Amino acid sequence: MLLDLPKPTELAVPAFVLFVLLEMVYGWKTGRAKFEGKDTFTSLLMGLGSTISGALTLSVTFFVSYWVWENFALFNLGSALWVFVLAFVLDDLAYYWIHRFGHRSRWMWAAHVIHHSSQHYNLSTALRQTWTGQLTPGFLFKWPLFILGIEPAIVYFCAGLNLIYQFWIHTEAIGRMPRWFEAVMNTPSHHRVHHANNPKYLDANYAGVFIIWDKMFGSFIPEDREEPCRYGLVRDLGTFNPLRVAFHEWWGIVTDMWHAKGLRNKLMFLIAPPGWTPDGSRKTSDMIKAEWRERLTRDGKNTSHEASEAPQAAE
Amino acid sequence: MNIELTIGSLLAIAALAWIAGRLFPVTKPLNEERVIRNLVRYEPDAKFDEILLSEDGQTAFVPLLAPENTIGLLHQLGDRVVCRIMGASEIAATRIDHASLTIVTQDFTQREVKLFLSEKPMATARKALNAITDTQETRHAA
Repeated sequence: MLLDLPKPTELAVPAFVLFVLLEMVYGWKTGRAKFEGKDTFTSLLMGLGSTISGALTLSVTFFVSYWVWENFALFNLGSALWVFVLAFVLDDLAYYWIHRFGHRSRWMWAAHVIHHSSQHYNLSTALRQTWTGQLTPGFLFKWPLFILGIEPAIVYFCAGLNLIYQFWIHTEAIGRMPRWFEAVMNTPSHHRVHHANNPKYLDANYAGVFIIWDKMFGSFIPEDREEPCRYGLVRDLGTFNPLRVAFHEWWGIVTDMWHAKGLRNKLMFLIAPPGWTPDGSRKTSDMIKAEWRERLTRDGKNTSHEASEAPQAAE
Repeated sequence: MNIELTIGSLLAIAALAWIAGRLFPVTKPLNEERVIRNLVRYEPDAKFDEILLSEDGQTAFVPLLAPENTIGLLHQLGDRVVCRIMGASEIAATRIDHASLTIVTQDFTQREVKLFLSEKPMATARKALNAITDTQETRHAA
């Protein structure tokens, strides 16, 4: 008998709406949160589209997941409370790697870029989600959990809780949490760094719930009070059109692969980091960071994570 | 996901976006200070002598001395600025209609940018565009 668990994210929708409204009013009163009408509309519409695309492919996702679990599970872990706790932690670890590859491979970036495409950072940005995540190999990262013996329904239930946790960290209204909390958990401060396009902050803080993964795998960068986060992409989008937002990177991959010479180059346009080109005419995040370090070294400034000097944020 | 939930969500989205628009109106047009700040952030080595601001305060054209053979194109999107450093290969076409210059780009998210310029800035913009286009033609010829 398969487990029939609720979908936490669908249940949380009314709360999402309420908290976006509350942050908006709080920002209006205090200036500690910023919104813009069209940006908010696009973010929320991307969220709705993501829910619809997820619902349309749900049966396929479940079928494949259960096929792996039923045929390759090493153990039958059942559905005790400790299995849910274990699933939550391991799913968060899987999320870390999905997310990291989501930034480091253009195929997965094509889906994830949507979440980073707003130049604002508020609770509506949390809901700006992809419509095309199912077209990437990200689902493979969950397979080890099924093979370990955790039932897919439990994994997807925990993934829903994980997403709900991540909602509240998309805000500028909260500065820092208590030190012990910042040490272990992902927080608004850590996640602001993740959404920033300042060269100093690129490719950092991939965590979902537990920031310890970034500390373990060397991708943690703390927020620097002297370096205000500037949100968006290294090449920001020039549109609010949801269709162009949803598919722009896929279109870029297709056109680049079409024009590329040789199979290797075609493949690299799909799997290499975003910004990769055979002739280096565009910039990857590594190239942007290297240029930034070189510039600071040239100017005799410190480039460590504790450094306080860097390009000024702009709007 | 049922139809009632979808329609309810659409209504909530429209309401929240409307409230955001009312509480946070876009009042600040593009000006030289914002152009410089964003251009330098995007391309720290950019060198330029002048900034051509569109009369509608939405767009700016910057003939760049460095990087060579490029122009800076900045457009206000909502309350934020989108900055592009463009070479000839990124410009698909240009259209000039006495007081307006339309630059059609290869950018999927920003198909065209329109500037409203008076006579002198228009001439400067045309000269800058011709310069980078000529360079590309020279390269092709070589």
